[in-house]
Amino acid sequence: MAVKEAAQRCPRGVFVPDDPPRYTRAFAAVLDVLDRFSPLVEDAGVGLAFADAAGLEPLYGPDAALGARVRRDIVATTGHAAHIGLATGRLAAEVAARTAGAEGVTVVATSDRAYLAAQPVERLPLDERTLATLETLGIATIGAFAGLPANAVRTRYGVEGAQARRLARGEELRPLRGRKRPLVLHEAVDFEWEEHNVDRLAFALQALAQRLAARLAQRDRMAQQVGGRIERADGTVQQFALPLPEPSAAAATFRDAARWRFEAWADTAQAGAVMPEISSHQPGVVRISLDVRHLAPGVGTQRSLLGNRSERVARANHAISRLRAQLGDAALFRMALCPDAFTLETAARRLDAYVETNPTRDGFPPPAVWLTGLVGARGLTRLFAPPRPVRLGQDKDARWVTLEGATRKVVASYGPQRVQTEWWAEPVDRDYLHVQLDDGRGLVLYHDRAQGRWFAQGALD
Amino acid sequence: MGLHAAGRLFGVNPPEAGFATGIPALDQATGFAGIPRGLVSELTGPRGGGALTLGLRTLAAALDHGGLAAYVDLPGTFAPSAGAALSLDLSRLVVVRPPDADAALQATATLLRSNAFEALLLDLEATRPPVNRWSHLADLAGRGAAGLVVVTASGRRRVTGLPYLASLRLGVACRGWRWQRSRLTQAPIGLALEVRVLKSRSGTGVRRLVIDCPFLRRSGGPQDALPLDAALPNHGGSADAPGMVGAAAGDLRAAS
Repeated sequence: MAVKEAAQRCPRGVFVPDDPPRYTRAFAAVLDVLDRFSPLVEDAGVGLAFADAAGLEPLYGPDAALGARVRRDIVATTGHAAHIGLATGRLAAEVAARTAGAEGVTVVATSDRAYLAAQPVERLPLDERTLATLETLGIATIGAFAGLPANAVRTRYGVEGAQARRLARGEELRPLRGRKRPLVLHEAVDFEWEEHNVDRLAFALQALAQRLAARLAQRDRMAQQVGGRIERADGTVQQFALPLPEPSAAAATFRDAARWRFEAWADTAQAGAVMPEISSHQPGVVRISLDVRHLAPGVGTQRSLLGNRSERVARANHAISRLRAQLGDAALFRMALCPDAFTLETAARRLDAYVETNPTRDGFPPPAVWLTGLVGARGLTRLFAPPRPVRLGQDKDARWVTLEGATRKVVASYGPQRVQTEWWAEPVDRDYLHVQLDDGRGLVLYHDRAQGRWFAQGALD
Repeated sequence: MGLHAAGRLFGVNPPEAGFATGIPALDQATGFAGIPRGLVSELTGPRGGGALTLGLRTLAAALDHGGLAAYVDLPGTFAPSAGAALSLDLSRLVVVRPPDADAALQATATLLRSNAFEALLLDLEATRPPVNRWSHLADLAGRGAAGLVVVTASGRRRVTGLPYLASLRLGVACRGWRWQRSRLTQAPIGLALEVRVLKSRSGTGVRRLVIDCPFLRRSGGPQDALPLDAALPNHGGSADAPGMVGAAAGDLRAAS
């Protein structure tokens, strides 16, 4: 019946457009569930699958328990209802599944032939013409059809009829054909504790990604899709599947694809933190896994004679992740100069603007940037933070400096240089002075004109 | 006779080239054409003697042709402006500030083990770390091509163990400042350093020399484009602006 005709006959009907790819995807999820239970699963078309249940009793108990568990898992995983039939042969199992009641599970306790004997002959895979003929002959059940002479059935109904007769007698025409599953490489790590730190998760991810990359290299394959999954202590699961823009076998690609997702799952309230952590209000992560799929043949790569730079960066990242785990996040950073920042707030604003104009890119290890407004202090290699108070004195012969209880004579000096900021900026009003002491040391001092005190900004070393 | 000395005796180049410090007399005196790779070097001297300036100069030289370097900053006093003035590419420098000497040696071992860095500068200043770690560090340095430079402050208590395992030991002392004089004023432009070659496994016989160590240094070779800090101004050693502030940022990564 055409849709137009159906709409005319049933004006209130809701017509859902046919979407075979969607059905295929949905059924693939069902097959994936069956894969968890049986090593041999046959895809008999959308809506029908056979699984070899031989030998599963020690694992899952009696057939009824196995069927109930499979059904429960399918519902839980895919949201689709399923009917399960357990029998020796495929026809009996299919009939049992299709006739399953409200419980959705039917176990054929007798032989397949005995079970099928009472079933209507329409359950057999015969065409309508043959079924009509059988109805005319008064053959209404599969058992009656199974009792017909083999030669007569072959002569009258051909090969199809002969095969139907064998099925009716509980015979199997062929063994199960396991479906061709696409190769998926999978690695996982379990934590003995609840992990909240995204960086430490990234460290574990790095290890998983490297293992996957090594397995891909063994097979000379490249992945076109990366999937990840985290399981929290309360049993909740978050997972993703991300197609890659181009096939890749690089561990860094897999790691970063997963890390971005993991960071997105972290508490957004901490987005500005140096190290975003999964909120302590959420249960910690107890297991993470990474997989690569849709594998394509690898392409030839030429090794650099001088070493691969990205490999070195990856190794550096690895070392830095370890150090951050050992020493804490604040112990490692990178420095940059911000010449017009004099206070922490100004530096933070500068940094925000800098991060905004320099989006995060992949492949470089340093975890943080520090800004410093101190530039131009000639030769200053040691920066005192905070500046140390000093006393600067002068008598008729020479000047002297007292720092941390020790007084030394000044043999040479450079300055002072006055630095004043505009009144609307940060209030900085200082006189800077380089001094060389009689023991060879060099200091950079400044006189805070607002406080009227001298400080040592740093030392030349 | 060391390997390098033997190589020189038979007229072949030393197997491990060093990082040229940009001071030819010093590079020649070390016997390694600078600071050696894959070996431990010690720069020691009184506080404020210029050893750290020389160490930073070595780091900058190591990064002249790209790569990464690390600075294990135990005193927590690294001044990036000095590095910038020496053309030290700050975007390629990872700074580690460990809480104590033991952690500093552990961090150095981790960084060496990664074999991802061209050079590491371990600034101990006057701290005295455990004796038994140095052989492990020397072993790790020997497995890779990174040059490990340890800066120590000389005094009555020496860093035990390091002098024995270091392949190069330089004693550095400041003998004064170098000045640039104009008609109106004069400004310091560098240090006059007395360097004593306390030990060199590829020694050339030079035991003492006085060198000029300018605060400014030009980059010694072609470098990759700066991936991260291209938008940042480089004001090292030029402007005279005071103050120091710090702020930590989120994870910043640049293109490899």
